[in-house]
Amino acid sequence: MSREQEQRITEEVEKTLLAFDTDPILSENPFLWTRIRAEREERLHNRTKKIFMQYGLRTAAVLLIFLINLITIVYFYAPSEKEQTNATLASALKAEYQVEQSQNNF
Amino acid sequence: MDDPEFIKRLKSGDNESFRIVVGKYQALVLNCSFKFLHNRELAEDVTQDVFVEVFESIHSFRADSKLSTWIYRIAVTKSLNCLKSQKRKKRFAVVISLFGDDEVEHQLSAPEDTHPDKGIENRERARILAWALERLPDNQRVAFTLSKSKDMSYDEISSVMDMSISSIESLIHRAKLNLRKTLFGYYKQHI
Repeated sequence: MSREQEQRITEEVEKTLLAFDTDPILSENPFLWTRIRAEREERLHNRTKKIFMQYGLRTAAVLLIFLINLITIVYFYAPSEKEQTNATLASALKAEYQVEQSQNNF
Repeated sequence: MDDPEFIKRLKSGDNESFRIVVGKYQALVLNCSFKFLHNRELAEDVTQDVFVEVFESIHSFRADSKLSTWIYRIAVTKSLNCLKSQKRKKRFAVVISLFGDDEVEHQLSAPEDTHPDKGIENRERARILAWALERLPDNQRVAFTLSKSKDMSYDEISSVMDMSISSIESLIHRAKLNLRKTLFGYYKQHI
């Protein structure tokens, strides 16, 4: 690279470093206040919606799980009607024929 | 503006006080953002975000610095975040263009300095400088960019960046050295 070229590049570099110095001042936007107000209202609305979704859905999910557990307990662990009838019949027969559980019939 | 009564009214959510803040600092924030983004539309979007953030976070303002310094800090952070977001979009656009959608890449090409009062030559230099600034570490970039603001002294820059004046001077010096190196390499290939 020649000295002339190097000098030219250096000059261009220095001019580029000063490129921001000639930035004029930007003028204000007269509608900025309106835009800010609108965005704040939108954020508030979204926040309310988010809180409802977060807590409302969470509560609904907990209640649903509780309900499913309750139904499972009632359905699977409570004695069935047939079992209750059999138990009543067995005790009635025992009383009638005075059959003891430990008795050996052989 | 830093009067404790005024700050108290701002913290209580007084709209009129907030409107005064917007009126007083709008130009400052807009021009600060423009120095980072070189795109008026983006600078206006960032300015809007800055003031919404100011309103929502005013309760955390501790008054151990000036209100203007605190607003400047938010403006710098938001501007840098916007730049990073633009960079991510550009990268994504390149990936999309690999699958043949060139229109996307064209739409998201480097944000141009859209200020109408600048000559074409200076606009091109500003674009190249912005490109070179992207290659600097964040703190050097911020210090150099803020030093180009007409209304910011080194003392104010040190308040915004929460560093000593000598650190700011050192950052700006290193930024210029690195920029010279990058720009020299660029012009060596393009002249």
